[in-house]
Amino acid sequence: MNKIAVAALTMLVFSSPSYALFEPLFDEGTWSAEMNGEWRYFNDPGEFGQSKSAFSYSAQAEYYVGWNDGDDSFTFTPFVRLDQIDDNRTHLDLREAYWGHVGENWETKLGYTRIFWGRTEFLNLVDVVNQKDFVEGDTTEKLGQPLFQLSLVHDVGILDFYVLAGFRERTYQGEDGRLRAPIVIDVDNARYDGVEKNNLDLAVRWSQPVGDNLEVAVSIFSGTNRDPRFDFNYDLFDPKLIPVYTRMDQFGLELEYIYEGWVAKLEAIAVETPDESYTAAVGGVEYTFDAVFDSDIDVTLITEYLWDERGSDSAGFFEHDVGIGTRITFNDEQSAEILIGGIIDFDTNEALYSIEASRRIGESWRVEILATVVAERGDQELGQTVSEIAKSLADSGFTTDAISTQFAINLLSDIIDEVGLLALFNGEINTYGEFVETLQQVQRLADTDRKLSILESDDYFQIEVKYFF
Amino acid sequence: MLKTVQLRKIWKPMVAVALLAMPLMGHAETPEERGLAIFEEADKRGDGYVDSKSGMLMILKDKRGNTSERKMRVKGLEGKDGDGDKTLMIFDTPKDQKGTALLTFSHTNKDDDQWLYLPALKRVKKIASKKKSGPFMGSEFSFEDIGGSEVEEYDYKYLRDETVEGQKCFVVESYPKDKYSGYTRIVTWIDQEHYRTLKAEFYDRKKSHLKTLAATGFTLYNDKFWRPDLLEMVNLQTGKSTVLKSSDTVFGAGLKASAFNKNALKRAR
Repeated sequence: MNKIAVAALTMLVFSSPSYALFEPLFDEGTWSAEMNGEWRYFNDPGEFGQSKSAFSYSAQAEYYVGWNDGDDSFTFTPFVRLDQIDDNRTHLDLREAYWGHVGENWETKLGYTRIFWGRTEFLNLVDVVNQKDFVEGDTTEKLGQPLFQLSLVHDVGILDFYVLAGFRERTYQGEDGRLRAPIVIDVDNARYDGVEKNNLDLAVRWSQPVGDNLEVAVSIFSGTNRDPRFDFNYDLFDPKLIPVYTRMDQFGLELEYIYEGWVAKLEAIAVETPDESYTAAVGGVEYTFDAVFDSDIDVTLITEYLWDERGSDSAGFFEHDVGIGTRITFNDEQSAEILIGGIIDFDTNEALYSIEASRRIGESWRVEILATVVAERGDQELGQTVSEIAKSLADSGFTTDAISTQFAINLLSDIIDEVGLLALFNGEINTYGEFVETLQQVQRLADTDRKLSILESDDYFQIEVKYFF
Repeated sequence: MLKTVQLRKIWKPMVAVALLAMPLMGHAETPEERGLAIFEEADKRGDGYVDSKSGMLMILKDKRGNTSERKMRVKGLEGKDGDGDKTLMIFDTPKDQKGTALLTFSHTNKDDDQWLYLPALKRVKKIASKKKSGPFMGSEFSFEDIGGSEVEEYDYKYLRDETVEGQKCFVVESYPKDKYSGYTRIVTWIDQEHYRTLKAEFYDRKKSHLKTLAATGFTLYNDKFWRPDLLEMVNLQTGKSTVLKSSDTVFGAGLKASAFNKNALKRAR
């Protein structure tokens, strides 16, 4: 049966009418590609014994072909990364594979692609069409999303409709990877709560300039929340966090106002999930000094405030933080650029700084250097006994899943009572100390006031050498 | 007192004569009017191109003579109903910037709009009009040199006639109205036969001579439109220069308006 299907399909593809249909796909297309060698060096060994340094290699190719005078096109962009230490970071993704069609006042896209929404610099709250490719390390990297897009173009405004099919789960670092959470995230066993895995998600965005200086965009998203919440697997000797994906409805607003050298930006969202409804926003200003000291160099100063109504209950790192940054653009032949930034939480004094510099070498090479330092971590008070930890966990609201919470309470109270559970601690491997340590890690994750403490020893330096074909 | 009265007496009939004579003599143009008329004529001769496209090679030279190249394509759409032209510029090299595209809407009555698309970030960024004096892709051309301009964006003054490489030229000075322009004045040599810009000198905000542009290798397209095959901008203050060579220029290529909006910027090829 299968053979017949394959034969029929093969005949169909190679039959002359369909060959005529697909022929332009293979004629006159152009390839381009980018290879990237990356080396990371961490100041300290990993908290869980991970390696101090790691090589990684990635490649991305792009095939593009247009026909009907460019009104139709096909773009194919596969991506691959190989990582020396982290099996989860070694991955393959289809960044793009779509057919695009352009009409007079409209256009469509069908297939895998990546869409960007947003205005601000430190965080793009509204940008939810694509899942994040978290293992890439750069939080702006995204996985390809299968979708259908219809874009209506009017004199000034653009109205986009999206039907998103085939939800993509977020990638997370593996056990041997750096920059991971104290408890490994079990990406193979993600759960869906109140939402189908292959739910059709819908989104609409309308963007329009208002006057000469203001650009406004409004978006609505309804579908599977790209940000999972986590449940603990309560296996104290193979502890894992289980990503749980739920529904989300989001209303997003983007504003950008340009006046002389100033740009004011705002992104705000109102979110409704089965568990909570909240608002969050990022807003700020940037000012560009151009041609400083009579050179071609532009210096842009950026400051943004990151706010989340949920405060320390928010899953993200940034609930009342201040971002400050400087972008130095050399405007030279090598397109050299330096970006220095920091995010500071004035309540806990936690601060994360980074510096990024890049330039082209010759015609085909580019070098990028990045260093990230956690300058100040909040001090956590970890419970030393099971009952202390159980109490702080119960107060933290960390687990939202009622059944697992009950299970945890039962398990912990059993342990506290030491009823028949000593059998679990069989000798050297599974000691009571190890067990308390696992609970402490859970407690660390639950302490959302001091989030940077989970990057205990992950200050690092990274150099990337890119070659473009 | 007496003197004044006498002077008035003498002046009066002179003014009267002058006023009477004017319609007979034809309107004696001021240098400002003449300068504007020359640019309007040059603009008129370029009218009706509808659209154009061409390939471009940009060669950047530093003062030691090291060169680097950028390849790009330029598409233009003539403005309708009194608004300015639309220009789309797409980069093919340097390869790390492939797909970077710049969309410019020139306006006759307000600042131009410019948007830059960065393919790595999938992000469209609006260029603040203040930034237009900055260098374009590391070249000696600034965003304002590249974006094209409308006659209404400057004040003019005719200076003199002069011969450049055997061609009789008008020499006209123009003054940008835009306060963010990097220039205080531009001196332009326009040939009297075809109204083509052969040469221009750019004076910076400190009024010192910053750059000189030379246009050569003029070709006539569609029996109507003259375009230079080669533009060279020399920066006199840094010793750097940029050459822009155009190729495969086509007028009336049948480009659609849909190729000149912000969506088109993202899919520009």
